[in-house]
Amino acid sequence: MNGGPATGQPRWFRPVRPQTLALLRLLVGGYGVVYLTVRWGHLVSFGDRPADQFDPVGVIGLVTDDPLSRPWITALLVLVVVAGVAFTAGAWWQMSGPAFALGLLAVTTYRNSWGQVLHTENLVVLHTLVLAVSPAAVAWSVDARRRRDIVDPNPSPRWGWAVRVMAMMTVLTYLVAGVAKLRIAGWDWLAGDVLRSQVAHDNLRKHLLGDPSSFVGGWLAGVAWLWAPLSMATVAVELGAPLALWGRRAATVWTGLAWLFHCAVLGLMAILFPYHLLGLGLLPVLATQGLVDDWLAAVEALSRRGPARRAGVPSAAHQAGQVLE
Amino acid sequence: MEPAAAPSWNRSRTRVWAVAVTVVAAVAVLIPLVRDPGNDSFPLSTYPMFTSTREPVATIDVVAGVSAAGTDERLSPELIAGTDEVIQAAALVGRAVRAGPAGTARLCRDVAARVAEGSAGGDLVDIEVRTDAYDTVAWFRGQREPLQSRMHAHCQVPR
Repeated sequence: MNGGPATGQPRWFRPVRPQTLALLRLLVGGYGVVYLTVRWGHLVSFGDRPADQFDPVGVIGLVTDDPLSRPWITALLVLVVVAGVAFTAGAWWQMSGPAFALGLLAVTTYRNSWGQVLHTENLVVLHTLVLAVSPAAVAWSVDARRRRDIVDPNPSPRWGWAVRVMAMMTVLTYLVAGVAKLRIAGWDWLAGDVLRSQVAHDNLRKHLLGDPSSFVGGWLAGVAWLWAPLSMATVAVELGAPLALWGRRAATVWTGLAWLFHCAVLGLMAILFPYHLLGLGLLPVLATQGLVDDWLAAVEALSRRGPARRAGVPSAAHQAGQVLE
Repeated sequence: MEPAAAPSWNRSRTRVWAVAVTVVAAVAVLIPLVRDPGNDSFPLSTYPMFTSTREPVATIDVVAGVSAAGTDERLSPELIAGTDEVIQAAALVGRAVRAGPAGTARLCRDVAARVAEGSAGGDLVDIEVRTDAYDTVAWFRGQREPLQSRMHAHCQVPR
């Protein structure tokens, strides 16, 4: 299985297996629930902030000019986490999909409505929104088990389009970040001085304000020749991101480089992008090229080989094809 | 039992939906390219971080604790601003400094109250809100004293 386009299908609607879309639902939904649970105390603490610090952005700015009290934030979080568990399990998908996606959007936008917009949660929110409007609960879900659905396990553009949109959103966010550097700083950004000064400034500010900082990054800011190549590599990864949709090799190379880029950001600036570093933000790029289909097929083949070897006969699932639940 | 035959993808409503979602998603993520880069939002961001040049000598608004021995002690973002996000803490301190003496005095009192309530910073006697100037690269090479320091507010930790 190479994940290539089915006969007569436009290249954009590259088919994938329904399990691949389901795997993305499990991983992205699971990440969202864990994120909300781990950050619960931080998110609830916004209820104690003075109202004059509230500076609503995005959808929160459309809804209210006033901050929420601690009980309202807690109630919202409970609802969103419950919806998130249902989302991840693929239960009551028609309701839980939009409810969790909109809830996660609301909570993370609220968190960013206090005077400084952060950039570590954008992609998980965008991916969740795409999953919510896709048939991501058609396999490996409570809904499928309850309805006893039987879904063709072969790759189809019916499931592939959503994976493709998620991959597109990943690469476009990098592209926008790369264009922003050239829009604001111009081609001078590639000379390295901007990045060098930012790394030194950011690390020192973190230290002075009592946060973990990268002494390695700060020390390397004194090595002037290093920063032009690092700046060029950064912009190359960001502006080159759309090439990752070109084919398997391009997707593999780019996701590897993007992951290394986030490792460098962590090492030099002590800035953690957990969704990207865990590979979840980058996985749709590989999935849309059929690589995740292949990994799942390999796992299935391995799992069939065990019982078949013990019994000495091909397994029933192998012979009859897999019924999805 | 065989899987039910699905209608042709090319004729399906799913395909129309897929095209619509693709177009909306692409436009939404790219729209920040035509916005003012400084007008950031969430989750559709202009990603303006690390795009502007910082001067070699940086002026940084800080809140520091002073121990009974007179030494300068770093405070955590939780103590400074009630958050574990350092960028939001920095934004809060910067806004207080821009607000003038009333803003920095209020911030100083708030921080002092958090220090008094918590177990961390038990030996701190005073809180200072300052703007310090450093040579950022030299700082990481050992030059730790600020080139300049301007005091905005000073208050005692209530005990």
